[in-house]
Amino acid sequence: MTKDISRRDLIMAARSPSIDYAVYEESSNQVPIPPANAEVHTSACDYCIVGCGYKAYTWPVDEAGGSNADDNAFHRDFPVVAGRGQWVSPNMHNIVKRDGKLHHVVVIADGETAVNREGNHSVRGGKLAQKLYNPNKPTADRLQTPMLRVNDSMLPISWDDATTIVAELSRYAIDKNGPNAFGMRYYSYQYWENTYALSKLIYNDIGTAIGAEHDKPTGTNDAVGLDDSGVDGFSTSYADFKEADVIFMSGFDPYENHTILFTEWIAPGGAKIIFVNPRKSPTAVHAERNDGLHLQVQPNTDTVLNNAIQRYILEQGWEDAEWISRMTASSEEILMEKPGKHWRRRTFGQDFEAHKAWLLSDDQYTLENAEKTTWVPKEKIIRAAEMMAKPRGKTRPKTTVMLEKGNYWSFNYPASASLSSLGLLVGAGSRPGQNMSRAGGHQRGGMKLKGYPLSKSWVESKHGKEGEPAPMPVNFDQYAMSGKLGVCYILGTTWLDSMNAAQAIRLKLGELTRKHPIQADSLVVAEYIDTLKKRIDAGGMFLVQQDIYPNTLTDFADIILPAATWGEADFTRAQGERRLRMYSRISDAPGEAKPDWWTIAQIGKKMGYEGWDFEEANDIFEKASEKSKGGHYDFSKVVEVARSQGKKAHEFLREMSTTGIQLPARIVNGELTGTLRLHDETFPDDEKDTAPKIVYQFKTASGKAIFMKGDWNLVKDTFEKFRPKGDEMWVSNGRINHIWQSMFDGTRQPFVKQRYPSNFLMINPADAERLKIESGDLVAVENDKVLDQLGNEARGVLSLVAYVTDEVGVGVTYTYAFYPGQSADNVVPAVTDPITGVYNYKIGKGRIRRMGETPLKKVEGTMSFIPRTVG
Amino acid sequence: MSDEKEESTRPVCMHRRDVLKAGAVVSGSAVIYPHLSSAQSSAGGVNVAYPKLKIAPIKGLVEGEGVSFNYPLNEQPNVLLKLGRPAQGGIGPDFDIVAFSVLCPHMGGSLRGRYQHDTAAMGPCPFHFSTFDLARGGVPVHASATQNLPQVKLETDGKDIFAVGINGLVYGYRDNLTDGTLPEGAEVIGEVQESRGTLRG
Repeated sequence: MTKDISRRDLIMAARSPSIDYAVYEESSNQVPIPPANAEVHTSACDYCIVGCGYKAYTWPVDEAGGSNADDNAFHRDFPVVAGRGQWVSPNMHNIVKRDGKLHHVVVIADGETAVNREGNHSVRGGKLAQKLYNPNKPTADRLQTPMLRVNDSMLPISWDDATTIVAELSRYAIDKNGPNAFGMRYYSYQYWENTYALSKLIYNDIGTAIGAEHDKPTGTNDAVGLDDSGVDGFSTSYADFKEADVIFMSGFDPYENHTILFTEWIAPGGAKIIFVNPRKSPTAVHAERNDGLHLQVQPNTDTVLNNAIQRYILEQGWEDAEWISRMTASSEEILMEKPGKHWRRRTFGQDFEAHKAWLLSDDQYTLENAEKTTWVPKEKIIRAAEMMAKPRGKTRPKTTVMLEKGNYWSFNYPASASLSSLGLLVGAGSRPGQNMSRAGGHQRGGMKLKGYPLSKSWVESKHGKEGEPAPMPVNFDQYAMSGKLGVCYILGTTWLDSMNAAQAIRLKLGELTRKHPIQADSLVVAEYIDTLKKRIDAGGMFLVQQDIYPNTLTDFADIILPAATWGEADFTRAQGERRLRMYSRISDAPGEAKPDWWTIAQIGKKMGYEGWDFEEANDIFEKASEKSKGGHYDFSKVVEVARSQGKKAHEFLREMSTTGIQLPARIVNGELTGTLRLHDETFPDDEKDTAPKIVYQFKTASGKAIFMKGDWNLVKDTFEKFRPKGDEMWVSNGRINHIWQSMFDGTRQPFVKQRYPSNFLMINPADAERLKIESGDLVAVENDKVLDQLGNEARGVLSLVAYVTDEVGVGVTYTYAFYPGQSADNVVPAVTDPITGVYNYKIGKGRIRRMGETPLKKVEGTMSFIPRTVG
Repeated sequence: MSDEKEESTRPVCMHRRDVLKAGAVVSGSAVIYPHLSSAQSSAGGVNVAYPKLKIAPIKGLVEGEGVSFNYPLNEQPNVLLKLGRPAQGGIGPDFDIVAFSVLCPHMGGSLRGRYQHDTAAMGPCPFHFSTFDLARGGVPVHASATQNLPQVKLETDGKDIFAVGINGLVYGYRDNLTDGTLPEGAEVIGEVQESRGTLRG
């Protein structure tokens, strides 16, 4: 039989032989643009703290915009010119349903915002349109209906049954065993309306002490040493970074995951960067190429480095003496801090003279000893001190000091306290170009009715001042693993794979839930509840998962509550310079997914608590404004002004578009006015009656900043015990610019998956040669002794693709922190900070072994192995 | 831009419609748009023809030295490179001849002269540092761009190199074949099917 030869076959035959492309489908060669009458929705990015402004354009699928400025919603001629934004890449377009009807949607960076001017965007935010649900795309697996595990099958149930089951089992566990039988892990960031509701339920209504935020085992703050010095983590404006001469970045990598802060505000400002990081990432390369410095510190030794730089500055007399005498607290002023609540300030706070005497007396911080501990050559420590503090004639360099998780996710307290003291020493208070700030992770989406109830915790630090209480929050994971939690509610966060000793938590959780001998076999609500009550009584757990996608927790969950998220409901929150904006609904939530506040309200009502009669998100927003009064996110004036104009506060905020307003919001000369920075000594005297005190004072009892003792002795023995020995190497972890967080969206974006189809192990060429490893090989990481939360030790293992690169130094490897299914935390022991209880996420290590090759090694693979130091 | 303005500055300006209506010789590359909505894709993919353009003879190519050319429209600059290592989409005896757009698909920064031969990386972009791997289909090494660097599809008759299509949307454009002029010498080939979609302005 003769085979028909199609024209396409002929074309293919005529083509030149070539190596095929790795991406199966050919890329889009065109994209729809919105017509002039498209609907415009104001929003901001869902991802990092920088919170770039975005606008979404929606229009019916049978309409189209044209190339002439008059024919499209951007009012721009196409092709658009370089550097001006408003170009739509194919990843900025999607098809969605809006009010039940198919629409095109384009989500692009808004050139009119105060954050990302001219439409600059990161690789993450640029793809926001792909986040929106489209059943023809990888977002098809969104959770869409409540589901219940019965006979080990996940079966759809009604919202009414689902909320009844959660409410009744919670009520049962609490009535029988007290409020601590209920525990929740929750995001701190995913919008004010939601965090207000969940904090009301767990801390106000139920009153449990078993709560933890997404990235911590407890309910504590993040950069605790910075907080204790009296500096709010988000006290600056991005414009301030342009005024700095020098920016010291401790464990903060702005190109990687605060891209617009870097490309829009830091790099163009021309400040010299001192980049402290075990990894020579693209930011390090940029720093070195622009007269800056890369301090390639040994993981976990930041405390020693920060103290050594301070000591050298003190030896040279380069501290900002005038500012210190004016703005930092005396020993008497430090004792104004409340015992108990502020035990750390009373224990580790010291005045300048005491601080100086302590540093000069401890030889761990001499240049020579610091070089041995930190691996940073002493010449570079001296150079860093000179850049930050050496007077230039009659003036001082304007130095800004920043930190983020590379710092406070090592030894949380001493690392962040030593950093804040370094900042105070060089006068990085709060004035243009001279600031101290966290860089931030997620946006500031926590608007709690009530915070973690430290007074209800029974855990004490052994390092407190003699005779005074030193309360620490309860470790959620430890409590849950010990079987004391009847109801374990995980809301919008990836618990498994993101905490230390990840495999130990996973194994234990299985025993308490899916592998527990007591399992449900009925969809009848009363029968189901009876069965689960028996499991709770037998020391097992009822596990609730409320989320947008299935993840590793779904393997164990008893009930699934589907959530609506960014772009699917109206929400609000602030970003890294306290800028409050409206995140408008763009498209319909999939299936029956609901905003988290709604779900929590149903459960709160069914548990019998008062004050859950919110009908819409705006009701909660307006209610929460009362709680915000006097604080750093005081938005009560926004609500007041909206009401005076007869508008809902959400609608009023929507009119403020992507620029929004920097909080605290004030009324100055009758006008609603934002606030540039906190603790601002340049704040005008005649406006002080319009502002909370933190706007012009530090956040301490005296209003002055406090030098905090970041003492290496607190953690030195732990460091010695857990550091790599013999043939082990550091296995550090963190972010990388393509991926956001647990990759919940990136997993569903082919553009991200082609770049990182697997978690990787960056390894130095010298180590790779010794271990006969090449880029694209499959490698194993094994840590024989991973201490878990219950004090046991077990092996932790991980396999990844090797990425041979000089981005990491000899003896130090690097992985992505939260790659789904390949968690770096598998090989990280559950080491907690002795003062704050926060995990040390950076203390992973292991032996590295080649297992074989991956297909990625071939040129047909999608993953690039070019060292990122080239760019 | 108005038609009048185009007429005055671009005497041979072609809109997609014109390209589509041009010659019908032998079919050239076929490009299927995968991103249409279900309603649209059920009507079938949209086939469009790219012009075929001779770029350079294989013989004169020097490893690591670029040859500039504009394609598929006169306003869309690209570079032809012999990487000296096999590459996705690479042609020639060593599968190492490739061509890419030199407009960064983040915000249009010019990547001209930013090829790094020792790694086959293109970049960093002078605007925001985006850098691409030319041996692996233009995938970002690290970048703010939300797509790969567009790669020009090449063919050879053993003697000359021809551009016959492009993989990815060129920065600034809503359609690679709209809002510009065809380069001199471009041969419009292809039996084409007018779009049934609604994406054309």
